[in-house]
Order: sequence, then C-alpha cells, then structure tokens
Amino acid sequence: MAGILDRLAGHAQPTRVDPGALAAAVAAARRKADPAAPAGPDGRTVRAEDYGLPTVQQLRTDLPVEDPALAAALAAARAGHWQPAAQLFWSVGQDWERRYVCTTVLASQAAQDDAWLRAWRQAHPQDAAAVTVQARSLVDLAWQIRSSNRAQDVSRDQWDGFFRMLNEVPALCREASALAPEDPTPWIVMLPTAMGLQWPNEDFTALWTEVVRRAPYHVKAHLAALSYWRPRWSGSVEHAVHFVETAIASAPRGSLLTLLRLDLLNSELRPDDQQQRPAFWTGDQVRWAVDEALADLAAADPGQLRVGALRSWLARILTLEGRHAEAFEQFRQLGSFIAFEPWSFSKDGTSLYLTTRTTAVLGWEDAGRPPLPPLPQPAAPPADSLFARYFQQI
Amino acid sequence: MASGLVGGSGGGNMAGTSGRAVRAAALLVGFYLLGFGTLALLVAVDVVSARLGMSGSVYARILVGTAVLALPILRGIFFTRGNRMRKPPGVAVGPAQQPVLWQRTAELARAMGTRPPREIRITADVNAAVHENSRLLGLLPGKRRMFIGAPLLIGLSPAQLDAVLAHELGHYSNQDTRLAGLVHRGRASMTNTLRLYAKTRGTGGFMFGIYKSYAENYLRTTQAISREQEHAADLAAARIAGRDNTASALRQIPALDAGFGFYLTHYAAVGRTYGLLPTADEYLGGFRHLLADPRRSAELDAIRSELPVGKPSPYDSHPPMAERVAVIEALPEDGRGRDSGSAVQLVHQPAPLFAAVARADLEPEQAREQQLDWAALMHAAGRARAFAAAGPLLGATAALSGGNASLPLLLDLVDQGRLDEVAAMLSEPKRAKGTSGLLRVQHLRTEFTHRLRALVQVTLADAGCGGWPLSWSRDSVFELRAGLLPATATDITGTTTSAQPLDAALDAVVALRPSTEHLRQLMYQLTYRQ
Repeated sequence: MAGILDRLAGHAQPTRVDPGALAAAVAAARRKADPAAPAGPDGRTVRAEDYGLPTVQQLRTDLPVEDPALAAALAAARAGHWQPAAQLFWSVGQDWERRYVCTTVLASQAAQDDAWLRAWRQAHPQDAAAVTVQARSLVDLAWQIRSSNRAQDVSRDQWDGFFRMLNEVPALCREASALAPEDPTPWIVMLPTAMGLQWPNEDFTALWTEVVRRAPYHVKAHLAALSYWRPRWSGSVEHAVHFVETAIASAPRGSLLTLLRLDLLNSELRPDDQQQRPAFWTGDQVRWAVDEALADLAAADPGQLRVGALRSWLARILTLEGRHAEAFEQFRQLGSFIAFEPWSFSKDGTSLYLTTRTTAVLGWEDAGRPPLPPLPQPAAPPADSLFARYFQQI
Repeated sequence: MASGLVGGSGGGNMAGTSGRAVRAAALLVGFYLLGFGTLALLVAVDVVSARLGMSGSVYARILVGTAVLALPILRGIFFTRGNRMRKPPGVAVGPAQQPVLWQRTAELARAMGTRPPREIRITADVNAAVHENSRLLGLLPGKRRMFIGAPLLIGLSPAQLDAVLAHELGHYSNQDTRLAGLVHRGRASMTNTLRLYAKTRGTGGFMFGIYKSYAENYLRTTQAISREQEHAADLAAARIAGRDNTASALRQIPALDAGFGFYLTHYAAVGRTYGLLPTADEYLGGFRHLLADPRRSAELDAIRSELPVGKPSPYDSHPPMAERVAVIEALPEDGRGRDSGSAVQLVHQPAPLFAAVARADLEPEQAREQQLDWAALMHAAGRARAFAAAGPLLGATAALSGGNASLPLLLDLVDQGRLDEVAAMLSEPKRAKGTSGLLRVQHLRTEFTHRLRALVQVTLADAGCGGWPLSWSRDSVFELRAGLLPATATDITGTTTSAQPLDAALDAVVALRPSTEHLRQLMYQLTYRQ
C-alpha cells in the first residue's frame, strides 16, 4: 500500500535513499534468519523488547494508520462488499486527513479489482466518496502502468496508458466535488493527476487554491503539491523551497508541515557526493530544520493522523545527525505502524527502519544512556542556507 | 573482406615495433605448429585405431570424430582467404566505364608508392577496402582489388575520398613489410578457425578453449602493431589529401555509417518485408536526399562533432576514431583547406551504376519486387505496415461477430460492451505479461488502441482521405489530407495538428465508458463530405 501512495506524495520517480543506508538495509535483509535482531554497524544487536520497541513481528506496513474500521472496510472490499466502505466514509465525516487516507487505501484495492466499487457506484451514484475513490484508483492505475522508472525509461505504450488513465480523473473529481463541495479530497486527488498531466504552473496554483481553501494544513496534500514543484516534475529546487517555506510560515505551530522541510533536505538538498553527506547531515541547516520540526511536533495534537510521518523523518535524520537520544525517543513514540517515508523507501518497508533504529539505540547506549535534551528554542535559519532567503521573505 | 575502414587491415609501418613483430611472428609460427601438430595427432589416432583392429562402427565413429575436429584447422589455415573472397561483393567497374575513378586511384597508388589494384568494385555498404587474394599462407602476393562503397561516393567530398583511398592503399605501400602482412593474415586464419570451432560441441569445445586463449594472446600482441599501422596510413593519407580533408573524412565516416543505416531502415528498405522497394537507381542513390536535408544533416553534425568514444576492445585492430582524428588534427596547418561537393562527380553515369550495385546487393528474389518512386513507396509501405498491425484486430472482429471484419463491425462490438473481449484476443503485449486485474485490462487496451489506430488509418487512406507522405526530415507518419479537418484542429502554438481530433476519437473508444460515437462521426465526416 505504501508504495504508490508515497510515490505520489513525495517521490513520483524512484525513491532515493542514502546508498550507505541502503547497503545497511541490504545487509539487514540478508540477516533475515534472525529478523528480531538486526545488527548494528559493528555487528552488535539490539533486542527490541528490552527498550520497549516493537519487534519485527509487531511492525505494520500494510496500513498507514491503526484504524480497525478502515481495516475492516478494506477486508470487506477485498471480499466484494462495498457497504463497510460506505459506512466508513460516513463516520469519518470531515476529518479530511483521515478521509484522504481511507480514500487512498481503498482506492489502491479498487485499482486491483473494482467489482465492489462498481457495485457501490451503481447502488449510490450520488455518493461523493465512491466517486473520489474511483478517481484515486485511476491515479494508482496510471502510475502502475507508467511504473516508477525514470521518464526516459518509460515506453511510449506506458505513457499512452498513463495519460489515458489520468485524463479520466478530472471529470470524476469534478463530479465528486459537485456532490460534496466542501470536501477537499477530490481536489487533493487532482494534485498527482495535474502533476502527471504536467499542468502549467498557473493552473496548478489555481488548483492548489481550491485545496487550501478547504483544508489549509492538510499534510498529505502538501506532500503531493511539493512533488509537483520538484525539479523532476514542473518546478525547481527554488520553487520547492519557496513552496515549503510559504506553507510552514502560514501554518500554526503543531501543523506538522515542518516535515516538508525534512523531506526536502533528503530529496533535493542532500549532496549527490557520498563523501559530503556526513558533513551535510551534521550541518547547521539540518540542525535548524530538525529543531523546528521538534518544536512543531511538541505543539501538535498527539492524535493527529500524520504525527507518525513527522516522527519517522525526525527519527531518521536525528540518527544521521548523531543525536541518538532524541532519535531513540522518536522511535519509542512512533509505535509499530511504520508505513511512512523514509522507511517505505526500502523494498520490504522495514529494513531501513530497523538499521536506523539499531544505530540510534546503540549510539544512545554508547553515550551512556544520556537523558533527553530540553526542547530547542525557535531560531532563524542559518544565514547561508537556502531556507534563509525564503524564511525571511515571508 | 577483412581490410577496410571498419575491419582489420594488414600491412603498415613496422618501425619501432620489431620486437613485438618478432613475438607476433613467433606466436604465428606457433599457431601453425599447433594446427599441424593437432592434425598429426588426429591422424595418429586414426592410424592407431586401425591397427588396434576395432569394430567397424567404432572405427567409423573415430574417423568421423577426428575429421570434424580437423576440419576447422584445415579451413583456418588453407582456405581462410580463398573461401571468403570466392564471390567478391559489389560490381566491378573497368577503366573504360569509370575512367576518372581509375585515373584517380592510379595516381593515389603512385603517390603512396604501391601498385594500383587490378580491379575496382563498387559495393553497397559504408566501407572502403583493399583486398589481396594472396596464396600459400599469404606468402605470395595475389590479385589486388579495391572496394568502394557507394554511400561513400555519395557522402564524401572528392578530397575526402582521396584520403580514404590513400589510407587503404597506404596499408600496401612500400613501407610495409611482408612480415606484417603475414601477421595480419595469421589473425584472419586464427579468427576463422576459432569461429568454426565455436559452432562445434564436445571435444570441439575443448579445441575452442585452446584456440581462444592462444588467439587472445596473439591478438593482444599484434594489436599495438595494427594501431600504429592505422596511424601511419592516416598520416600518409593526410600527406596526399591534406590535413583537413583527412580529418573531416574520418569524422564523416561514422556519420555516414549511422546515417546510411538509418536511411536503409527508414527509407530504402522500409517496405522490403512487404515486397516494396524504391527504383533500383534510388535504392542507394536516394541516400543523397537524406544527406541534403537540413534537419537530418544537423543530426549527423552531432556525430561529426562528437565522435563516439567507445571502450576499445583489446583485440580491436583499429584505434578509436576519436583518437585517430585527434592525431590528424594535431598536424601543422598545410594550407590545403577543405574541398566541398560530392565524390559522386568522379563517377560516370552514377544512376545506372548504383542500380547495378543495388541489384547485386539485393537477394535474387528481391530483384523481382515492386519498384516505386519515393512518394509512392512511403505511402505503400506505411499502408502495408498499418494493414499488418490492423490484421489481428480484423481477425478478432471476424471471430467474435462472424461477419466480414470491418471497422464499423468492430465498433459495433465495442458498443455491445465487448471491447475487452476483443482486446484479449490480440497478441499479449510484453508489458502485460504476469499482470492481472485492471492493470492488465489497461495494458491490453493500449495494444488495442494501436491496432485500432492502424485500422482507422488504412480505412481513411483507402477512402482517399490521407496517407503517409514522403519527408526526408521526419519519420513517415499518417497524415490526413489537408483541408479535410475541422477548423478547430489547431493546438496552442497555432500549428495544425492533423492527428488531434482522430486521437481524441480513438481515446473515446477505449475510455472508462467506451464511446464509438466520436469516431463514427469523424469517419463519416471525412469520408463522405469531401
């Protein structure tokens, strides 16, 4: 499930992971014989139970959130029944973040087999949720046809199918939005569609206005829009930084939108040269972005659906920074549902998580189990970082 | 034909290479010893087997087995050249037919200090070569032939052709040693033996292993010699034809090679699978149209200015082209400049000559095929290609509806909701292998769309509404006849995009809710309202 969703949200093309981390992940995968105890860089292992961390068996990558109603609706859809799905959307109501997650999970099921969805559509042609799920399932299907290869490796046939699918989406989203004008979900589904169809910047901006009017701080929507502004689609690094800083500046603390900055650091700002990476991750710019994110997280509603997404980025980058006590704390808080970036970058969904976690725990042990440092104070970004330019402008 | 621009070439300046040459010669002697030794061993096996009084069938099998093993050695040593030049490619042209070409070749040979060829043959490929039918392990000189590819006559300037021919003749000039020629022939013998063994199995595979390691050692040793010979021939060419003409000729050859390959697949041989050819004189001669086209020329400029820097194989007898060009371009200015025009001006009556070369090159049965002018050929080939693509779709339509397959009948099936049923009867696209569910349905629909587009094109072409016009700058694509389109068919840039309404109508057929209405309407408008 995480694959297509996260590709759309953050990584429309092959996900990029620190190759160093990837090597570790591969090594971890090879040690599958004893999956509960992934070894650290020097071969030492960590018993998850000793630290109150989930064991490998407890880790969940099948669903992005712990949500029994969603799990039940998904199981029912697999069995060909649409009623639990309809019921689910009814009860989710205007929790837009959750509504979007439910839409993507059920849509990816419909992209495989849509018999239940067609039955639903037929029974309730006026149900906006069903229309939106269908629209989103076509986005999934489009990306499956296209594959996540680099653009130059996608065949003419794949592009044909990709565009054919995406071209069906706008009409469905319009239909859904007419049925439920206040619901941002159809508009959010339009974001990856517009990206795939390579809409001009001004059209995309107009679409974005419709999204934020309905859900100003929707995390997944922001991630989807950020993808559009990346250099590989229709923007540039400058566009992306500008988008991220504008979004963070206009949101209250606790919105979790600081995770956009962490995503950006990893995907666009990280140096290509392996040699320069350690210095990059331990530099002032990263420290500032992480501190801001920690403050954002501290102010967030702990029940917010995307808290785990921010924790995941923090756990990863804090480990890279060598701030092991704080990283360990994020791992402890994260829980067992880990279908988030960057963990979903590793093929099995868990190996990057496990190696990073082992590094954090062992680092914390080596430092003599230091206590958690106090929450950092808000500060301005380092003057020489790309963020500073946009940060001050806002 | 071993010698030439692309393949290995014999002879050359041996100065400073004598140590390596001696080692190469020793290895060559070893090669012959290995060959004759193995032969002796095989004969001995036969003799001993006979003496041991084996049963008839066993003895017969031993005889056959030893013969199979001996054959590659015998052929490698004795028949390497003779075999390969029994039927020389191309068409021989005599001094009476091509006086200018002959005179020019004779002058070049004199300037290079070597004897001119006894025969000049014009071939159908991008190559120039001198070949000698030497005898007795290459120890005795034989009949010398020069081969000139027609594409070079078309694509090189006169001075560039001089440079290329001088280079080839340079391999046989006075500076060459007989030893170097022998070394080269050894290479050919060895590769030939090796190739023959590569086809065999069992003990032959063992022999292949032995010869392979031996030949690799030999090739590596002689490679340095060959490279120096190539540089020497290049320098000799530069002396005769001038620095700039030689350098530009070397740059031009990869461009012509790529360009001619493209020309064959996209123009001259585009309809060959359907029995369609251009007229004989244009089969090769048409290359000039492609070279004259500004857009294609710009594409070839990219090759000319940036030579491919392939990783050189240790067995390659030629240095990389980029390296050869760099050596020539580093020579001091000689004031000779660059000439222009085509070397075809040296040819008397090129059209019938190129026609004869084309006929000699095409297989006998091809000579009977339909010959068309370029415009007719491109249209006929485009239609044949589209018709072939539409074939399975018509077949599926006939099978499902039981009627005479046609576009309207197919659209009826789509209207009945049987689109995916039709699509499932077409050949499975590679992409769809192992997929299931909706993803598979969509992959199959993509394949369906290709064939539907082809069927629509054939239908429109046969109704006189469009075709595949000739363009030397672009690939051949279906175009509706001008003026048939609704006025709306302009894109954002203001250019008319003839395919657009057609594409929209095709998309509607394979949409989520398939609709054939647009396509039916468009076909009606186009075919009845002319």
